[in-house]
Amino acid sequence: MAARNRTPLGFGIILAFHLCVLAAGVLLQNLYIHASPFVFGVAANAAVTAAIVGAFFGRAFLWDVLRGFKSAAVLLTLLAASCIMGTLFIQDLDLRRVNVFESPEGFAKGGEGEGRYPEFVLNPTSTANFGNTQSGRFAIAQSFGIIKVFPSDELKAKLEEKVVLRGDQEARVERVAEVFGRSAAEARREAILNSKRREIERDAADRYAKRNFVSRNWAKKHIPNAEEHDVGWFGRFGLYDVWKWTRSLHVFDIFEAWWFYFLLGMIGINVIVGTIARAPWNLRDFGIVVTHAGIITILTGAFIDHCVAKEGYIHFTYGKPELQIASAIGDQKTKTYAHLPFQVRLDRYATEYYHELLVEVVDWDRNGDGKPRQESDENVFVVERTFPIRKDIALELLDGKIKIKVGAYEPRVFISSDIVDAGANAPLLPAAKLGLYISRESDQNLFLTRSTEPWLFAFDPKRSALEFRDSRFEYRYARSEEEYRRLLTTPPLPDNGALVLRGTDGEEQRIPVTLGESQTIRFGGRRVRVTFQSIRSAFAEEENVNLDSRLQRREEPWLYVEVDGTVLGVPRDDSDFVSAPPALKGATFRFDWNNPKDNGVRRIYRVVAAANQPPMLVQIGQDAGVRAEPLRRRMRVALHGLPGYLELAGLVRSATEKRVPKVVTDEEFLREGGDPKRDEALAAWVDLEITGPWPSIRRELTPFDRRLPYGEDKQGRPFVFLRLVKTRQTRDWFSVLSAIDKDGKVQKTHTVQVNSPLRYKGYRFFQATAGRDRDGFGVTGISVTYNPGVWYMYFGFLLLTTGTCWIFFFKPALDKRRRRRRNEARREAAA
Amino acid sequence: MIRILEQLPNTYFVLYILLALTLVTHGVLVWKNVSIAKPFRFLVWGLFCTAIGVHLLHFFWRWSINEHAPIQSKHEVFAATALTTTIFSGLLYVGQKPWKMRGASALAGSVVFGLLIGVGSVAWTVAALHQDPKIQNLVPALQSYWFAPHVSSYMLGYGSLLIASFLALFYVIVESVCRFRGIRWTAGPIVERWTYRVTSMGFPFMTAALCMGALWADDSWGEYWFWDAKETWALISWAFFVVYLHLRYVPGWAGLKGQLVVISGGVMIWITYLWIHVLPASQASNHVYN
Repeated sequence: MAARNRTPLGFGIILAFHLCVLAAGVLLQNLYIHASPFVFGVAANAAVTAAIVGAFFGRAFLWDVLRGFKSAAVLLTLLAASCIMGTLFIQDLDLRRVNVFESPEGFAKGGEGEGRYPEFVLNPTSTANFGNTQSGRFAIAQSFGIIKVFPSDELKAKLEEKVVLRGDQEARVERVAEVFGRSAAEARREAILNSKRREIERDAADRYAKRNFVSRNWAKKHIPNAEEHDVGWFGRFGLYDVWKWTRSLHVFDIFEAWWFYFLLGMIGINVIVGTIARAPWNLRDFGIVVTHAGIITILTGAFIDHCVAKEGYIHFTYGKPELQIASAIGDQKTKTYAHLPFQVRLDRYATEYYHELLVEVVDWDRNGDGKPRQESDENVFVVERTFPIRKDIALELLDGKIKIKVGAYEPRVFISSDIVDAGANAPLLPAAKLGLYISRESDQNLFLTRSTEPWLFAFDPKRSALEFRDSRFEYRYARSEEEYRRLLTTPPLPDNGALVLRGTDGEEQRIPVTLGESQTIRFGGRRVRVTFQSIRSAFAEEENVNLDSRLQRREEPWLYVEVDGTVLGVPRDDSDFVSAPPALKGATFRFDWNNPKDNGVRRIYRVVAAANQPPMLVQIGQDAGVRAEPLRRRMRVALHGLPGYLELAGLVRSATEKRVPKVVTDEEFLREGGDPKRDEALAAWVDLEITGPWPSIRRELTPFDRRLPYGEDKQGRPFVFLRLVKTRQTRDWFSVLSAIDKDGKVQKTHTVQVNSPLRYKGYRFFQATAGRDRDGFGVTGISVTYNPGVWYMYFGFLLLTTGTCWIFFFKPALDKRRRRRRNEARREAAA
Repeated sequence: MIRILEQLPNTYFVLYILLALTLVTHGVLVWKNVSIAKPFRFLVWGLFCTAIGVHLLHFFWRWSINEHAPIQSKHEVFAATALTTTIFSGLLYVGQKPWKMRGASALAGSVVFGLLIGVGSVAWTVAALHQDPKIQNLVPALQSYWFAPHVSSYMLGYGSLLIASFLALFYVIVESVCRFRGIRWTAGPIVERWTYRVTSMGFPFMTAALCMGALWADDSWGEYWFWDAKETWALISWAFFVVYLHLRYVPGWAGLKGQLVVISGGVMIWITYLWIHVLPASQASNHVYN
């Protein structure tokens, strides 16, 4: 009782002492003495407090308090409260989830935030990306200790190239090389790194000094790594240690906090003590012991796991061979790399999507919005419904009028296709979908976005070709072999224009342009040698002009001509004459090229298709002649003086063309190489039977087939269209991983899916994340765990589940039987 | 045929309402000692079996057309909770036999069970009817053999423990009103016992589901536990019921205070079940799929 009365006083004294130490610490730090005593003061006081508290409760604490149900309840409530706090107090999530690693192999990999913050993905082979580390968000993340950047040797070398040593430093390098007998390059490198390091240290000390109102020299001297000590507002008020101390409480990552582990330990002790002291030790109530043994097993297992287990991530990039092999895993918690005793290689990666059946019901008189249909409208689909595909299940449409039965369903097939998949949205006529790209890597389409890749129709005069600057892109479908050959060999464009020279006396001479050839002409009584070099945009020469603005400008082609060794750019505009070189006194030039017939087209890119012939791309140019080559998905073309790419996003050769689906086995899946930039390799296939008021049809359907019409209205137009469409929902990710031992032999290969890891030498490789990198290559995140003690945990879970079932199901049943027997016995005895 | 099967949720919705009304009516009949009270019991049982039968038919029909157990979309999960609520209410009803009580307590008991069906099952069914019944595809992580046992155990656990917290709420309201008015409420311990019975029926399912979740996580992510928001909240709600089960043995905690713990446990389940998306930590959660 006496002790209880003294409690407030004792705590008051301790509190006052703490406050004094705090004040002294602040004072001392501002007097330029680093305030470590403050920490010791707090520690000493904590010890005293603990001793006093211990004295209050005495030795009997363990047995008198911890064995109680009440203490169990209190501890569990504390656990629940900390768990609630743990899910509520979260540091900036975006920052928490970003990790940037550099593996020992010398390349960096992004963490989970990769997709969201591509600027965090470090690629140390390029100094440009390293520049991103200076950006604001990255700096914040770095200061939180969430991101660590380890520049590779390669990157360091690149940085060195940019560093210019001062004159005296250069002299020193030479001397060092001379005196220590090192190579000049090595000495130079060392000098650069030292100078860089000093620079960094100087900057950090400067910043620390500014923020904390201390002198720069003091900061340099007393704080070896000032960067780490730069803690903003806390530091500013001399409360660095307070900041450090609050950080040690792990308020924002409670599940990593020492006191949380302590709490779990207390629960463990409580369970052990309580079970020993209180559990009824008989078979009937043995469930209680089993349950608590389960909890202890789980807690012990967790502790063992905490000491033994390894975990980490590997991010593979499919399509970049150097990022398809790894021998180390990055641990997200410790932000370090651990070596694996073997290598792991990504052999193949693909995403499989769910497919749905899309049914469109057409009202040919009205639009989708119910308004009468106009000539130009395309939106005639009134009802659109999607159905997930399930085998042997009938779908009912329009109050059961139309029934669709899925006879067979193969979710994973390869569609054999020689060029390109047109997709279900393809028109019913021969057509090609073209995209024009200015570079191989970027997805920057000249028609603004991917979705605006236009369809070109072979038999529609208005939409069979599109023109871009001086080039024309067209789609031609040959109905006969003769036509096919003719389309492949059309002669070159006729006119290249002419160079017009005008003398001071009004004399005009017209020279037809023949590119690449030199000729000698007579003009104004002189002999002049003229070489026509090229016809191209003047702006293509200027490197610093923004590419977009260059393309948006309405440029005219210029003629580049060499006259007596001087290169002249001659514009097309006929009003504009260019002064000639001094050799041709006072003469002017004009590029006469205004051919209304070809509308300024200098090149034609023609996609030629025919029923039984390989599709070809024909390039027709005034300078290049005619060149036909087999059609590929992405082909190089010239876009008005710039190297560009023509991408074929869809091709329909004829209305009757059919693709053959092939069901893929796992082995075939392992063998077949997919396009790293596309997910279209895997598709679905269904066999449908449609019944309704019109004659029934049975048809196979793949996502690459065109709409399947069914039924007809009075004018004979289809009533319903069916399509198999790919949804955006992932069905599964496949990462084929191989474990390779030190001799380079493949020891195990497994197709890793989300619930099916690769297991090798105690390590397990799980499919964790998936996405695309900046270049469009598939990135697959594999989480790696090494946890040999997991069976111990399994045993704990088994005990816990069995025990609770014992307590709440078996025991009441046994009790009931016992009671019934007793009653019977009593009744018998009474009788 | 399909359209008939699609109407099953509406059917059992009506049946549940009828069942609730019949239960209360039966209570009135027993209370007034009317002679048809005994044969009326068969109507209660008939409705009970029909409602559960229709619900089970719908459940298994959906399972047959799904590629997975029908406990994935919100519609399916709410419907499953309605089913488990009904099952546990029925089990409790059979076990506690309120019709054997006398006088007003028979009416009170029946009203409690009528409320359980009327508020529990009917409300979950209404919630299910407000969701899109379209069959959904499973995301890759859910394509596992753990899916059906783990989720169905949770459905059983949530269903029963929410009943328990509902009973506890009922107890706390009546008890505090009685205390305030100075009336002695004799039926209090009975309701308290019912709470305990339901808790003890559902708690093993909660435990098993928690363990199975850990095993599944180990199978799918390589870690049996990583303090994910949903996991943590599942542990929190589990811990509340553990606290309740232990506090029952502490003098003075068996009554009102213990019931308050059960109510808070119910709130925790509610958060785990429905509000987990709101929590800041859930943005990084592996359990949030939509």
